[in-house]
Amino acid sequence: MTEPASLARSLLEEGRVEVVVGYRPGTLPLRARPHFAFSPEQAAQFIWDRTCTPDLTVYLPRLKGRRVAVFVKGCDARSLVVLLQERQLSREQLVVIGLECPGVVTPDKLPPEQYQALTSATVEGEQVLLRGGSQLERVPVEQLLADPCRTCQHPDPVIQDYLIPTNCGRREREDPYGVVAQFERLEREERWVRLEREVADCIGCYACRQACPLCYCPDCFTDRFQPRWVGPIWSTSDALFFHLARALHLAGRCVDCGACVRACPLGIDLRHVYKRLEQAVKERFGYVPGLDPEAPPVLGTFRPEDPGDFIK
Amino acid sequence: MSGDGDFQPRVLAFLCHWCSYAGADLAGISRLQYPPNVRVVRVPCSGAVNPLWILKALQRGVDGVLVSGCHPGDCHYLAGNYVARRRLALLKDLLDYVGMEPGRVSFSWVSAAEGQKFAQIIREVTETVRALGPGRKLVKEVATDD
Ligand code: SF4
Ligand code: SF4
Ligand code: FES
Repeated sequence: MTEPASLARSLLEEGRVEVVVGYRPGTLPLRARPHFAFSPEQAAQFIWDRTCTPDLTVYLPRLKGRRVAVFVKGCDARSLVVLLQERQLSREQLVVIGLECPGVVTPDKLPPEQYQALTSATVEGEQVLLRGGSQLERVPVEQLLADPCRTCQHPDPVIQDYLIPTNCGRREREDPYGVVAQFERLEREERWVRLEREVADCIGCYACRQACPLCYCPDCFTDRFQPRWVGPIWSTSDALFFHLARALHLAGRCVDCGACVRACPLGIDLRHVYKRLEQAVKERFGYVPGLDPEAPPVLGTFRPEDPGDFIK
Repeated sequence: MSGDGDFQPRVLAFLCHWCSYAGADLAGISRLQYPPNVRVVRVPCSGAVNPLWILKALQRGVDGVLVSGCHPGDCHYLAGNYVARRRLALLKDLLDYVGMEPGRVSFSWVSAAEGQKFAQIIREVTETVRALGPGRKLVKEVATDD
């Protein structure tokens, strides 16, 4: 039995939790899927490997008040901390199983035709073995690594009750704001054009919102009618409004788990915008989200000496 | 929206009831001259200004937005303007980053005694927005739904 499975099993056997939220192999190659075990038998399926990309803390607010164990990578632990900071969960209800994370893969990095032709795939060390019929191809993990993992500053969970160590090597941490600097080098008009172009395909399905562990509001502004913020006639202007408003709502909260980008059926990727706000919060207020469960949310507090240079 | 020479920008100003709105009032009763391009929305406190209102105003074709509240330390609700300052700083950074013109959205602290300053800020904001020309970015072109 794998280590995650035996740990989950004992937590359920001892009655310490009602449910364990973790990963099991998915039906598609390189995509582990969420698994909810309510009985010791169901715990047998749990795995932990570099295909365990989803952030499972998205399921926790709806389990508020219940005793839950959850597997968290570095980024997931930070979204969990934000949920604790915002009182969406209590620490007492949780058993946190930390996963030391070497970085996870996403098949979104493969050309779609190649991915569709795969029959199976496995990760072995720093290699991904892709099988399509009788063909076998090896690609480095590096090539399929999820974007946030390239710059991740907190691969080790910031909170945990148990820790499952990694036996993979650690990566060099790339500059987290490289994508921001790259965009900032463009002329102002060009930046707006790029933003418009990026969101123009958005169909307003809100999959990004649904996938985000921190978009837990039961009453999202997008769903309101009085006033109506977006739509019902959807235009690029609505897409811009939605994405700018969502970015503001995640400012000082987003932990760069990457779930929103992976969820989008149209491949819309605004990660750099969220990174810019993360950077602004760090520079202006010296705050990094998701590190301290006791810290007040950055926009729910202030310091009299906060910069006010932009105010006449 | 008219041609080059006679463009009259529409500026929407969110003014807090206790300071900036009173400052505007003082400008009025002191008969100070300032451009008639500003439309005022009185709000209880700058901390009550939802940044989405600002985006919505730009989407509906307003050419410029001003948010004004009490000076730091003077907020009637003690800390509303401090909280607003964090929130609005991030709105400003976001708009700058994605390529909105600087000066479309402005912020100020104006007290109830600063009628002069209020008139001056309205002049500045109006001229800045006039120079930028009509707001285009974010404007929704299709017929509105309500
Ligand atoms: S905005 Fe995207 S990257 Fe940030 S926490 Fe939500 S899902 Fe994760
Ligand atoms: S998931 Fe993609 S298409 Fe759907 S609302 Fe989000 S950005 Fe738009
Ligand atoms: S009452 Fe004026 S800013 Fe709060």
